[in-house]
Amino acid sequence: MKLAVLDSAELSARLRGPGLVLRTGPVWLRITSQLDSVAAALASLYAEQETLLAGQAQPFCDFDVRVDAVSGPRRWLRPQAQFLFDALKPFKPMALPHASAMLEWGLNWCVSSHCHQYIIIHAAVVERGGRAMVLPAPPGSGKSTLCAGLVNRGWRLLSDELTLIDPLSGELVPLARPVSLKNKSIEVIQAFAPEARFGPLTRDTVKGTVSHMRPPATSVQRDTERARLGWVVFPRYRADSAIKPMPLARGEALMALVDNAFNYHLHGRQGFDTLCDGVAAADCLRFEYSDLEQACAYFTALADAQEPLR
Amino acid sequence: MSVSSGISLLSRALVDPSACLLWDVRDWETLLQQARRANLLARLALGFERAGLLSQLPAGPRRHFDSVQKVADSQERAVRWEVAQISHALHDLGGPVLLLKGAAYVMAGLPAAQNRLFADVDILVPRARLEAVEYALQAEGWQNIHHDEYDQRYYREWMHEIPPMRHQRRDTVIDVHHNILPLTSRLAVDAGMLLAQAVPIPGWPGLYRLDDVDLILHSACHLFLDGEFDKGLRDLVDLDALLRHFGGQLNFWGDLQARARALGLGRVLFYALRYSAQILQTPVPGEQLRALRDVAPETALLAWMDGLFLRALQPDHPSSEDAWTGVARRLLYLRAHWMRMPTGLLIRHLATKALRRQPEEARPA
Amino acid sequence: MTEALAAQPLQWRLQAGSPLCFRQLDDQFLVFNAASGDTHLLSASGHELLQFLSEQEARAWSAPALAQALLGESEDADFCLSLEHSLRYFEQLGLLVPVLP
Repeated sequence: MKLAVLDSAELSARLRGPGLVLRTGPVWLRITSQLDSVAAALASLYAEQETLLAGQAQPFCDFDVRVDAVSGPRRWLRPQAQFLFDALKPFKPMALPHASAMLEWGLNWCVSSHCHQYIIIHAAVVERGGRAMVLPAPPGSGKSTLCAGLVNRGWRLLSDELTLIDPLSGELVPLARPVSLKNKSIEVIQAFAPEARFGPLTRDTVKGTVSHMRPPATSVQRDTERARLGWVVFPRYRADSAIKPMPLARGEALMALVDNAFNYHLHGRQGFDTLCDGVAAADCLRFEYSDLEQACAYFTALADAQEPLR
Repeated sequence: MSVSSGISLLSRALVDPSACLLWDVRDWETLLQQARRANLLARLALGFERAGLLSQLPAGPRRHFDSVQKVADSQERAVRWEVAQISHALHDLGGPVLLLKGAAYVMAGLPAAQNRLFADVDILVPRARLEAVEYALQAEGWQNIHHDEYDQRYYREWMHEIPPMRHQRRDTVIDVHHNILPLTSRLAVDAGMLLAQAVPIPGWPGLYRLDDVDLILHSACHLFLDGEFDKGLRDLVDLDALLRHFGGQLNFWGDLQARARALGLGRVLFYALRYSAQILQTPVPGEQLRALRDVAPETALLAWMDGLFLRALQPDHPSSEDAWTGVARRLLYLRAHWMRMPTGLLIRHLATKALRRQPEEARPA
Repeated sequence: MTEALAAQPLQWRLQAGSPLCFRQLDDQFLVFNAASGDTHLLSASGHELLQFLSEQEARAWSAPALAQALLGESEDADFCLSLEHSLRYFEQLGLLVPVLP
């Protein structure tokens, strides 16, 4: 049953009480919060995600998280929100209006810290025709914008931040959670895809203004469908640049994946073999662009020129 | 199952993995949370594996065990690599390098090493070699972390180690000790006695571990005298593993007692055996605890220490705490510091005792 | 290394247990070192050197001995020097172990 089926009273009741249970890809979450802002963000951004019917037996939840206002003597002067996991506080508190963004970052942290059954790369990953495109990139390279652009032009979202790779099969595993966008990217995508739904704007964070875009419904509906690696693309946004794809040597692409990985070192020989196998069968390129429409068209044509794997 | 009994979902699962198969989903979630907080998730996974139960586990917990297994495997690799680098760095100095705790368990191939999660590498060298060791490590890329003068003094003069050093490339940390207890501790162990009995590590000339009974006593000291209990249950699990491994050897229990007394650690051993047996069902022969009566605290004090230790040795998680847990941990922390930093009178007293080389009397806990 | 050792020929060998695993992607070579857990991108000559060492019996090599085995000449001082640079570099990366006298 999708979250959207819950009315806001029921959603709130679960969130404030026993916890709202949600599935994102292979991860089951239990989220508790007394904050209306968090309830609103969840209702908006996680509408398509699987939750439980009333009275349905609870599954084993991988992560039990809470986002709540910090109590204490200064809570009116400086209202703050705290993220809790396993009754621990892995982060410093943030300003209360940042609560829903904090939940997103907290959930990213849970996966990247505790899901080592996968090789986890700090990269976006999207899919078309059964082939996945992994977009590793340091902040500011335009990967999130490109990722958000592609999923609004027919590509399936697996993740905007955490690329999960099954070390045994080499397959990419979706999470299909909201896409994080910053500053100018927010306007760019809102203009590019007026039908896209956004959560609240969170201003004055360390990263600037942040907002999350709801993942396309089909991406969430297909969030148990894995994909094979097709491309490794290192994007770079460069104002006024024409689109410029530049082939990248596979050896360098592999080292860059290793550099962008959260937990490559944990996977030893198996990780090396899996990534080498994946990269050997993939096309690797650097990609400069300024026009998002052109960039998306380029990759779509690239994908459609191949026989679909599904 | 009250908190004050020392028993938790985690301790029960460690003692009898098969009992968990009947548990409901929420208990499994709590178990995993306790295990994560106690740094024992990998050890818990091992328990199920040894019992042949991995394939029968529900899928949810199973994926977390798969995840932490990767961590445990890579950490073991990392410790071996780090020890190799340390051995190379100190090779030219000659003289023994004693590996302590986790690194020792791994290099000596002891069961206590299996699926254990490691942080820093701890070594012990004779006090006279400390400076040379520090220079040799610096020459191979380790750097002092604490630059604060007070911290430096704290470590060098008061504690039993030089301040931790971090390797500039690998980002790993080494702690170099010259004793297993602080210089100023109310219990002064003669490091020379430890070094004299040290056991060489096969295949690694120059590297040693503490001998069997000293391994246990060191583990016990660490647990009952250091004052940091967030990893208390993990340390108890180490102790239990060592006791089970060596416990079947001829003369082991007698040697353990005799050594504890010779080093002035009788009461520490008493606590170790008592709580390991109570919480982890370690098979400690009854007469061992009875034989330690003379160094054990008297009844009222013991009841009090039970109340403190059995709470402090619980996993660091709300489900295994009660209203007194915080107090218990704080009191034990203070106690540990009291034992490390005595007054001037007591320093002199200890020095005199050490010169006479007689076994220490039992001290008030 | 202390001054006392400088007089002796420097030698290196592969880590015991054959922890190196090579992979070629296009015309580039990668090596995974199971002992350190590290992965490296190798130059063609670097790969040739390590591959050669992996194929030989386990023993210690000095730069001149290696030059002799690889090219049949140990007289080329420049080549020996450059080999020694490579060997030291690989030691730094943990791919080779120095042989202590």
